[in-house]
Amino acid sequence: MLEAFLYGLVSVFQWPAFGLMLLGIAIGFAVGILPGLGGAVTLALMLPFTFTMQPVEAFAFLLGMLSVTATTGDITSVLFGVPGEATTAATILDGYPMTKRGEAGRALGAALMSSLVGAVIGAFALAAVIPVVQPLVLSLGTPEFFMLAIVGITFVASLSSGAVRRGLIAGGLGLLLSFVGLDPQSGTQRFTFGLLYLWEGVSLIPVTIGLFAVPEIIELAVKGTSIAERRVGEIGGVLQGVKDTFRYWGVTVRCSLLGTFVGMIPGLGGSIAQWLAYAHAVQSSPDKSRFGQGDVRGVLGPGAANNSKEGGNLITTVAFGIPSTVVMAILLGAFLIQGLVPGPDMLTKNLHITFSLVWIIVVTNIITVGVCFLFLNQLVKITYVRAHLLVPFLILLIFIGAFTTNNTHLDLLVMLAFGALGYAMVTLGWPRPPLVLGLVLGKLAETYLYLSVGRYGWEWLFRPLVIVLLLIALAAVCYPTLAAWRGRKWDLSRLGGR
Amino acid sequence: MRTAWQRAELLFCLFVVVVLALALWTSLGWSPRAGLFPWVVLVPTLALALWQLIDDARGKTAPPAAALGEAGEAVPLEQDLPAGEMARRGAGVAGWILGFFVAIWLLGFPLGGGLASAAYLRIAARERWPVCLGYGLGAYVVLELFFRQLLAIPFADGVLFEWLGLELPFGG
Repeated sequence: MLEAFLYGLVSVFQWPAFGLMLLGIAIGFAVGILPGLGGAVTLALMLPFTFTMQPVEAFAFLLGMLSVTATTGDITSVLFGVPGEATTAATILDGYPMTKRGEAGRALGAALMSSLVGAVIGAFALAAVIPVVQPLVLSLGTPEFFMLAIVGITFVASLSSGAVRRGLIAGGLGLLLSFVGLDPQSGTQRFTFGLLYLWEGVSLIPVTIGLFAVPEIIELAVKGTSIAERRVGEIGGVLQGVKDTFRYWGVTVRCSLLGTFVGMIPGLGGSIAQWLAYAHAVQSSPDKSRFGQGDVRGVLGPGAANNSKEGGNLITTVAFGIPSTVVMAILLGAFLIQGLVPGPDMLTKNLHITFSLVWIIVVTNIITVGVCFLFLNQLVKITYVRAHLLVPFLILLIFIGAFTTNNTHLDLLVMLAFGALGYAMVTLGWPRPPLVLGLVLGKLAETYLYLSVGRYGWEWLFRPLVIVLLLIALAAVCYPTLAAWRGRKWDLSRLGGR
Repeated sequence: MRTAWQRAELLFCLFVVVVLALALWTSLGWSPRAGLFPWVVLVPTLALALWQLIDDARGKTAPPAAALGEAGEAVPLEQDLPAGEMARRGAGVAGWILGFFVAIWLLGFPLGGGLASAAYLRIAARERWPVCLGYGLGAYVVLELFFRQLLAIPFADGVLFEWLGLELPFGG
């Protein structure tokens, strides 16, 4: 085992694998920063180039590229409030307010360092968990997956920034959006208004861009200043952001593990990992009032989970040949091109290749974060450019990001509609994250519910893990309300004491 | 007497209630298989929205604190501009975003994006002509060469050229 582990490390640094990894990093860097160009599309485009490569070379190129997109996608989320990747939208919530406060450097430092920690934890989880993962994953059935989605939805209360009722309504609206399209059970058209475009449902990217980026662009243009309203020590404390990662070590590690776990579950995907990590960062924090206004913990959680999920994704792909996301399905294609069959062989005969995957994730993230830190000075200066010059650039960026989801102008209309909704919500103090969480988890919850009922009747409700998850969900709903009630009672008792 | 914020909140909440009620009414026509989960979600959400609407109508809802101070206390919104001016400017920017969409739809991404950028800088930002033209040209080149040619993003041609039966060297 140890020999294979070390051989995996050495093979990553051999030529031409290392050179191809650097090329992959360069491509992934651009893909991550440019909105709309997803890791899946790029991976599919690059797959044919791996036909003539050796296994480790091919994975150094593809996985190197993939690992970087998750890291650099956070950069535009922090600097402009426009997600570079669909999976980096949650970073906007606190990263962009930090940028506006002149703390772009600190936010980027935190995002990058937590990404690195997350990637390392996810990668080593892949290495450590492989021998025991099979019974764990096989013990989870559709009822447990349904309850996991319900637990995720109950985080809505935590994401409501104190306005729990409005947060629950926003979460309900998100769930309503997730119903748009063909019903997976009966094929009934739900809220499609006879439009073929809506049969597939509402895409997450135009909704996210509309809700989060459009209001920020309007605000930026109205104020007419730069994004950073004040300067905090030129690059605003990159080192402080790095220190924050270790200062809030618990948040970083827990969100990394959460990301790894979510990554292991087929169908859950990167967006969910990030939003759940954000919700966990809020929920586990004693002081929730600063979230959404530039709390560094709101950057650390999503940053860590976004990268650690790659290790989790790989666990099921490598061990069982079950790709948990579209990206992993494409990577599975690379396995087959290389003549590798995921499953027991990857844990015995080809164990060194499995360990090389671990090392590729670790090494690419170290290189990427190192390169990013070198250029952070220049990147942060963009936030001091006058708003008038940035606004057309940002408008084009959001249009491209929305368009490339399905290559149709209708996505632009969806983005504009949600831009209007997002602006109204911001102005009136309605929380936006619950709406996204509802959209992300709604369809999944419904599908798993019907599968559970179809397979187990109502007996699934009495499975031990389902009961545990149900209790967690109830606690997640009740805790914020109880905490608010206790807070009010405490305030009243203090006033009475005076 | 309601403030402008309270009127806006009331209107928005009414909009949410109407959307949810229409959605519930539509879903009642579905089979239980297709409608069960939506009903489970829509009924309580509509009830919560009605509760919120009643609170708004009774003027019980307060505007959100815009920011938090160093000690976490609520700090009122510091506005450099009067609310009316903010709303007027906000509507102007929203109009420009719509204008970008119309330009892109009519002329295609590269040409529409480039022209709209130059127009925004000249009309809204009152930048000098060389800056506007350079910016617009740069946007066109990046969109055309980088996004369309190199990354092969299938930008649709502008519908205006279709209507007129024209064909540009690179498309819209």
